[in-house]
Amino acid sequence: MTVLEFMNKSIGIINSGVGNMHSVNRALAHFNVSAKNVTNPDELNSCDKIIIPGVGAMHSAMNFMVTSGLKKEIVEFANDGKIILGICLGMQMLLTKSVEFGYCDTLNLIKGDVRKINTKNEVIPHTGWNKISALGDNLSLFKDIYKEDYFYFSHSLHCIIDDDCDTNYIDYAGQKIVATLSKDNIFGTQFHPELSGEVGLKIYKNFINL
Amino acid sequence: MNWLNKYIKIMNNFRIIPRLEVKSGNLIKGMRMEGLRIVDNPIDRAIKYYEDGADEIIYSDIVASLYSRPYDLVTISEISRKIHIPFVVGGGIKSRDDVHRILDAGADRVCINTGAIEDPDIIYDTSREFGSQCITIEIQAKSIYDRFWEPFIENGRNRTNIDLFDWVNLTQELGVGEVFLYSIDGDGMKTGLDCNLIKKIRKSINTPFIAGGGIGSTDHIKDLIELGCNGVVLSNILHFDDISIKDIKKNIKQVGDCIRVYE
Repeated sequence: MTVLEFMNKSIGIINSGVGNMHSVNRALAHFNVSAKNVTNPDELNSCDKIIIPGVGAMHSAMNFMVTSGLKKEIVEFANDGKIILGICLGMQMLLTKSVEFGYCDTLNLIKGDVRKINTKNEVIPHTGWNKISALGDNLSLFKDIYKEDYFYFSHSLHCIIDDDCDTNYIDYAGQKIVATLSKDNIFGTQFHPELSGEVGLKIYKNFINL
Repeated sequence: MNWLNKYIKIMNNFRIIPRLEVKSGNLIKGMRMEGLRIVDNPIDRAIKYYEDGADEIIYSDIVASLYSRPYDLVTISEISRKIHIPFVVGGGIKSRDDVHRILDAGADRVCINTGAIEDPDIIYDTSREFGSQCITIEIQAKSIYDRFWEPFIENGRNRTNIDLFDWVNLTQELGVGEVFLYSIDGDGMKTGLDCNLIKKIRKSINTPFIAGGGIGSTDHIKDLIELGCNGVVLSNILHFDDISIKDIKKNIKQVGDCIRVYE
């Protein structure tokens, strides 16, 4: 695919002001793709696929989604079959509700809850690199990713999914944590592919080609 | 059976974290935080360490706090464009706006010392706004007459008259995402870290815990793994090419599968 063809497939990054979208931008820039900064429904409508990046706190991010009118529009965007990739907090946002610093309704594209990692013995936040041993190569987003590859995680909350979708887990101190999810046109990664070195960049390459 | 296996079960993969101490655009290194000398250009070094398989990079502006200088946002942004691993920036962060500016320049997380001791609320406020995983507290520790430990500020220059453990506990209550212990006594000495101090801090906190200052060999790093640290912060032994990140990782991997190896 040429650079021009890449650019015609316009990718948007939801910028809620608190999430750090720069690292996502840089990962796309690595493949000469410049993404659109999406802060309102109009900007969303000019995109074919979007990334919901994942740094920040759920409340401030969802607050932005509601007041900007993006929450409703993103749900429609998903119902139209357009591709959405949620990263870390962005993946958690795809679920029904979150309990981070109090109850919070989220996008409800995938049924499930966001909860704190059980803090009995574990070090929280979970910060560091893990292998996802069962990563299925059936998913186009994870093409050329192998079970020996490591990804960078940085989170205190995790997804409890109550929906019919493909998931992969990591084992963090004896607890199963959802590392990836996919359901039709909806994708999510709990880890940060944009911070996972060259292996993570492959995921962006795959996303661009979806 | 090797001794590392029992730690692998309870902890995450151990991180190797090069630290770039920067002054006026140069990567520098001193001993016990004095006698600074220029090592290299920080951007070139960041790229080298990224390519060698660093798990994360810390950039510290060592005079930003002392002279209230503005950050070198151009260099920060340049480094962040070249590396696709977590990039932590510290030095002179005093407010929520500073954190915002540094993240906006391309950092993924921030590291705060002086600013948090002067106003601990910054930890509470920023961890709620940016997420606690975004906030690392750096503790520059110095042993006082071998009787107690005290956190220092202004890059090891000024005393605080606070007990180190009181401060560690307070940071936990305020919602910090990671504790980074830096030994002033060890800085540049290659003598290893005080195991009792590490053990005591590890017991009192639940957040990730990384340490540095005086690491001189892979054995020192294995000590930290055994004590339950989540990462090691390295400068001298990498800057002067005593050993490479690749070799450190290979060496640790031989005794236990607790480290990310980058091919």
